Amino acid sequence: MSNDQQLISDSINRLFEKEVNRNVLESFEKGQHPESLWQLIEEGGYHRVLDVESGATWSDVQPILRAIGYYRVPLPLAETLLANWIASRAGLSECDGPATIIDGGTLEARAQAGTFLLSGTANRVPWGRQAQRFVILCKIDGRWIACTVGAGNKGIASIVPGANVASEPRDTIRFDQCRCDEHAHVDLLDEDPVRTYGALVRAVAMTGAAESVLAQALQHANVRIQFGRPIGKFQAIQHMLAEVATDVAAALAAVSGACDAAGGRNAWIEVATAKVMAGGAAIRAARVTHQVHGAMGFTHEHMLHYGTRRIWSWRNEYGSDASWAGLVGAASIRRGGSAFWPDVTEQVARLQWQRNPIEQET
Amino acid sequence: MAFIHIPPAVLPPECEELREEVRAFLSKEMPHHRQKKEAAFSFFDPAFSRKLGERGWLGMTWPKQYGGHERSFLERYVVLEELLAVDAPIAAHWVADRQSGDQLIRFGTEEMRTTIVPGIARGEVYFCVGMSEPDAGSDLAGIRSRAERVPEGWRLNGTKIWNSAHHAHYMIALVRTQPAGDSRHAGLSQLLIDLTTPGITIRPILNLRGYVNFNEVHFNDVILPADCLLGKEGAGWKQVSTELGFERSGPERYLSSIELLMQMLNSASPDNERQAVALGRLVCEARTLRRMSIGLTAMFVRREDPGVISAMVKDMGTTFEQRIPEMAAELFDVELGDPASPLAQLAAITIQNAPSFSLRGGSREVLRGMIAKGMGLR
Ligand SMILES: Cc1cc2nc3c(=O)[nH]c(=O)nc-3n(C[C@H](O)[C@H](O)[C@H](O)COP(=O)(O)OP(=O)(O)OC[C@H]3O[C@@H](n4cnc5c(N)ncnc54)[C@H](O)[C@@H]3O)c2cc1C
Repeated sequence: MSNDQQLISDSINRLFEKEVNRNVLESFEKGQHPESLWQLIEEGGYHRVLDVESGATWSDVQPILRAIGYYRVPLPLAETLLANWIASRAGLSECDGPATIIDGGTLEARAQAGTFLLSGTANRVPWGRQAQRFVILCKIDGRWIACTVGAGNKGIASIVPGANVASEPRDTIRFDQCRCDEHAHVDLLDEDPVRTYGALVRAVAMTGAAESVLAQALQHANVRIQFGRPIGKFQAIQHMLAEVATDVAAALAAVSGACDAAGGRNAWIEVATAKVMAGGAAIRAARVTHQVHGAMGFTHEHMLHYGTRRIWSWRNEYGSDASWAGLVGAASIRRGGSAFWPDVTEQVARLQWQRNPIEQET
Repeated sequence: MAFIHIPPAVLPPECEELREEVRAFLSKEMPHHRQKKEAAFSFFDPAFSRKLGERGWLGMTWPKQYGGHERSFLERYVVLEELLAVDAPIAAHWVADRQSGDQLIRFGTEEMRTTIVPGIARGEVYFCVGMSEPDAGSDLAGIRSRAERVPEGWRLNGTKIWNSAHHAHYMIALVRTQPAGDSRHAGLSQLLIDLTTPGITIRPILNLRGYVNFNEVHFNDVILPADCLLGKEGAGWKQVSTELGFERSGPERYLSSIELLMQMLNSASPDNERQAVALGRLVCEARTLRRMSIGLTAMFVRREDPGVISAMVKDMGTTFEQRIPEMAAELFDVELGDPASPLAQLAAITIQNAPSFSLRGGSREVLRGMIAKGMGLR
């Protein structure tokens, strides 16, 4: 880790270690938004670390994204980082408070008097009801336009609450002739930025969640006594946990590769790799750590589910493992066997991969 | 859990220049028309090994005074991965270059360093590993080969098995020189054995495909000189652990089936979703393994203790290598070995070699035990 990363990592871990406790998580499950925790995040400026002005890279914020998973932070910090990153790259104004990002693909954007009117429904918007600002990414005339809509905008016709398996808000938002507060062109080198960068933040967070459930299981295995000895002495338990640790180590390596590539050309291939590796590792970590915890881990009282329920949710957000693997596979098949090794050893920036064949021909 | 975080490493520009040199060399020197019959990395070609020696690509990290080239482990890594990716004929020098030379430099006498090591770096002197015995595999400390001091030096009796002695000039053997005592790890020593010494019988063993893959080597009252002791008497267990560290951490631990993966990419259709998804997963794993493997090598360069990481990369890498031929059989509707299909032929060879991947260099279960221990279980 670079010094910057170490600094960010230490301070964010200290904050969450202290503040994201059982109380916060239990209240959150009952519908209480952890307002004061958000205040602390804003005081630390963590929600805007990815802004262009801060000079930080995706690799620098990787520890924050991982900590969101490790400590199960019940707030839209990843979404806010992402939304502010896009907004700042577009040169739009700064904004405090939670934000979220919407793929404008399902909306209709009509140009009118120097702005855009948005209409239509956005499904499963993360933390929609908490967001102070929506950053909506629309492809207009072949260019990415970032539009912002404040929470109080009259064009927001309705927000219907929904949730993922971990009780995190995934809301349905209907826009009706919603006049954007601001909009600007944003230079993004990706075909499907919301899906790609959404997948990236979920992949990194999943490695954090997987690491935390593994740590819980290791601890449990050393203290739970059956047949007169800690269950961690049984080889079956040891091997299950060793395998999970290996999966998680691999996922950590993959997400660090994705963070290095993020923002650049063909970042998607690294993000896809990260999402596939992290998804697989996390789902196996959830399965095995529950097995190791026995019935106790199946209770609401035990903290394990705060990690595993997030894993089950995040794994399929912004594209399943299989959908990302399919993209990588199809592109690799098109490139052919002789390109495989040169591609694997090529620096990402020089890669000439294309996500679909149509673009490859141009 | 810091122990599962592999610090990311990027290959420096000199490595990429070197890569181009190796590729240019291989495009000229790689024997194109050899018929693919053997498992990956098992083709024995002393002439090719000598050419690598001439280029300075053997003993790359060793001191110049012993014929080495004092280059970094990352540069060596690049040469290895380029050779492995095209399944170059590296079997002759492989063991000597990967581990034996390092053992001699680290633990050997000055004479061994000056007379033998330069020959390894020239690609002329080959080694085999004498660890396993008929009754001691995973439980290596249970070996029975025994060397006793005699006026001429050492008298050795016992049997070593599964090694590549048929291609080697020397073996570095782990033997018992003192009774076990309290710890079975005590009383073990490493000996450097010239395989032309009288009293040594090398009996080839055919692998399941019917090829000579390894041997059983008998030592019958073999008299060895006193200075064949490698390192300290009784320090054999520690020395072997160092040696296994080298043996377990290289790119060969995930690349054994890579040629078949490339063949699958050639034979698949991008519109076949089943193939795209399954191959995509394998490509993601390959990319990740390479990243882990380079990160691990960089830890060696910085002299950091890789802890459980070596075992993890080998465990995951060999599982990956074993899945590739299984996926070939699953994704393509061909009968393995069908002469009409290059894919089916390569898959037939690979699937028959795959069982060895998770045994050689320490079995999967042994590695998982090491990982568990490293994580504080037990
Ligand atoms: C192709 C090939 C090349 C080789 N080259 C060499 C060489 O050059 N030099 C050399 O010295 N050796 C060599 N070996 C031997 C290799 O190191 C051994 O095969 C390996 O150490 C396993 O020993 P074994 O085969 O006796 O199996 P065993 O130790 O009998 O193991 C059999 C099975 O039991 C499992 N097992 C054993 N102990 C435990 C335990 N405590 N807990 C759980 N499971 C356990 C193992 O994991 C394995 O699945 C080679 C092997 C192969 C296949």
